[in-house]
Amino acid sequence: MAGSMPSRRGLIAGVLGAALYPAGSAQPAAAAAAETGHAALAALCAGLPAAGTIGRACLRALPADVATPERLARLILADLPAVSGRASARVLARAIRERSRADFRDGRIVSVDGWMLSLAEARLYALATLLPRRGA
Amino acid sequence: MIIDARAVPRGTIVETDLCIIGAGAAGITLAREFRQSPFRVALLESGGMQFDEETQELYEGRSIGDPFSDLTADRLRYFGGSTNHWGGWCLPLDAIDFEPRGDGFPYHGWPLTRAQLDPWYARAQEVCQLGPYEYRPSQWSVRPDKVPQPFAGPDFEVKILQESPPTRFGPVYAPQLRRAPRVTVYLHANAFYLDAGETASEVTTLAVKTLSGNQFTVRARFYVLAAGGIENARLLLASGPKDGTGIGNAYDLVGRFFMTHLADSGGTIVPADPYTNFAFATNNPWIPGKYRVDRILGLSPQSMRRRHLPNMIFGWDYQFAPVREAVDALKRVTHGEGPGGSALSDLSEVIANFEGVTDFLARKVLFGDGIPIEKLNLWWSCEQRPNRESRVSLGPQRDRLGMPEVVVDWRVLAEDRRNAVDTLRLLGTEIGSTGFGRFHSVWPDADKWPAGLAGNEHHMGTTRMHRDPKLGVVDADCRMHAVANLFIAGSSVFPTGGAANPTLTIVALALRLADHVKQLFG
Repeated sequence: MAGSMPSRRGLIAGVLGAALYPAGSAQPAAAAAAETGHAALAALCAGLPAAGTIGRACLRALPADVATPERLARLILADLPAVSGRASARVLARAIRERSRADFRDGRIVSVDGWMLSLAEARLYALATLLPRRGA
Repeated sequence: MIIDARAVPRGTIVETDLCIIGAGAAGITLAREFRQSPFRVALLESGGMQFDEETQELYEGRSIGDPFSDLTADRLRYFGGSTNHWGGWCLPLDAIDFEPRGDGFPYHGWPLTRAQLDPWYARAQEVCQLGPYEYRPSQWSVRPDKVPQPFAGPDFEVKILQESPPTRFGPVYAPQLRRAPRVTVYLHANAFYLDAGETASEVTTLAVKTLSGNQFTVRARFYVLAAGGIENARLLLASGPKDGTGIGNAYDLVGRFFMTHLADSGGTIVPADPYTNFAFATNNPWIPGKYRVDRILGLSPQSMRRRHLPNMIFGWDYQFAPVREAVDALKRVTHGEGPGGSALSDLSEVIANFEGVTDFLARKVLFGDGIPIEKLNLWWSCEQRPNRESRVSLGPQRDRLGMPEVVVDWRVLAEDRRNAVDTLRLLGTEIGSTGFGRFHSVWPDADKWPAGLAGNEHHMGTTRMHRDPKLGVVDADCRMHAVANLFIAGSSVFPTGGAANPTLTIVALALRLADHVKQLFG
């Protein structure tokens, strides 16, 4: 899947772009991500309900060394090998949902204040917390 | 006949064929079985027909082990016993609860099978004012295709729980006992000391005291101790030779193996689809005075064996989305249904939640959906391993009658804690992996004790049943191994407690014991 690698890199760049340079900025990385439609992960994070509260708890539950946007995005996407770099937020959401089920089956579960979450969704919520909010 | 023991002339020796100590579910069930028989029965009850504080205080004791519920609040000491505040939940123990388990459950199993107890379970249904002895979900309109995936096996399965009205054994059965010609109920009569002589092989007399200071003696051919899971052990330990070991306790078993259910209200399931169809779990309408059938969940026997887990059951209450109140208000406005506020306040409620109500109506028309479910608030009950170190014993203090105080040292093994946490985790895993929703556990960490968890009112094991006198206080007929004419009724004989609420089993065993004693009378 050599062809997919740049796209996945682009997706991470897009997420990081969104994290570092909120929408509206003229930063090249974010612009590039937006152009190729690879801000799907950031868009997905932006749409998560109660992301702040849950995400902060997820951040506390995950190992400290993964608690950066870049690391979290890389880890999330590494578990979604079938997702193309051009995937929409909807496709990405479906993939993460499937990944979550598999995480439960595989015992990749994170206990967050008593809530049993899949590793994938815990990472996603943690990432959402680290990304700047639109208009913030 | 029902009489007041305070009025029995002091020093009287009451001669009877059968003396039953304790008028709770077990004692009353036993006495009822003899109401048409030619044998004389004396049924002794510590309290009167109503609750009184003075008698209830005789339950005071000390807890020195893991957190335990209030000993003066979790039982009731008057005619009818704890059925006076019983919730009425009934289901039989599972077949696996009766079986020895070699997979990390020492002392597990009964000297009976579930099948052997079934005929008495069937009769116990009527005593507890329940429906037919039928606990197969398929017979209560549970369709497998309606059961959401995580609860359709292989780890979890739907179980049936029948709810008694609940039967208050005191008021319900007092008229029958009052009319029974050879049954005499003695109120305010406290069993104080079982005299089994020096050999302690047969009870000759029972000393009875009242709080008013009266004393008399009961002399019977057979005695049945039916005073509850803690008090049964207390009286045995307080009786017998002066060496303080009690009677029937040559192998230091009386009071040991004390267990309850590990049970808590807590834990939450948030369904991914708030319109999840729970038709499989819809309760039958509850007609006052009648029984009701509920669907609950439990670990499957296959899962218990495969994963080496104890028995565990789960139930839930629905927490509906707030739109429910607006929909109820709409029903009242349009159909005049149900109780509620004024038409104006109902209308305001509907208008304030207009969007939610229209969404509900649209979904109702298009998909047949009901009110969206926000979450399911769980309760659960888990089996505790028999543990010799968990025990009831006597302390140095004495109560107003001179009975030694009871000391409860309830202990939960690390394996039990771990198993309960593992089972809750398994539930969460199944809920997550099937996409049903997400689970919040009140007990995510076995090393931490959940705030709401304490030993509950299901007191079991203190006079456990076993064929071997070295491993049990009573035999399979509930007769004490060491005392020929003394039987024990109630949950103190349960060698293992499963996850089911104990009353139905208590009543079934009492019916079985009554049949056995009748045979002995010939």
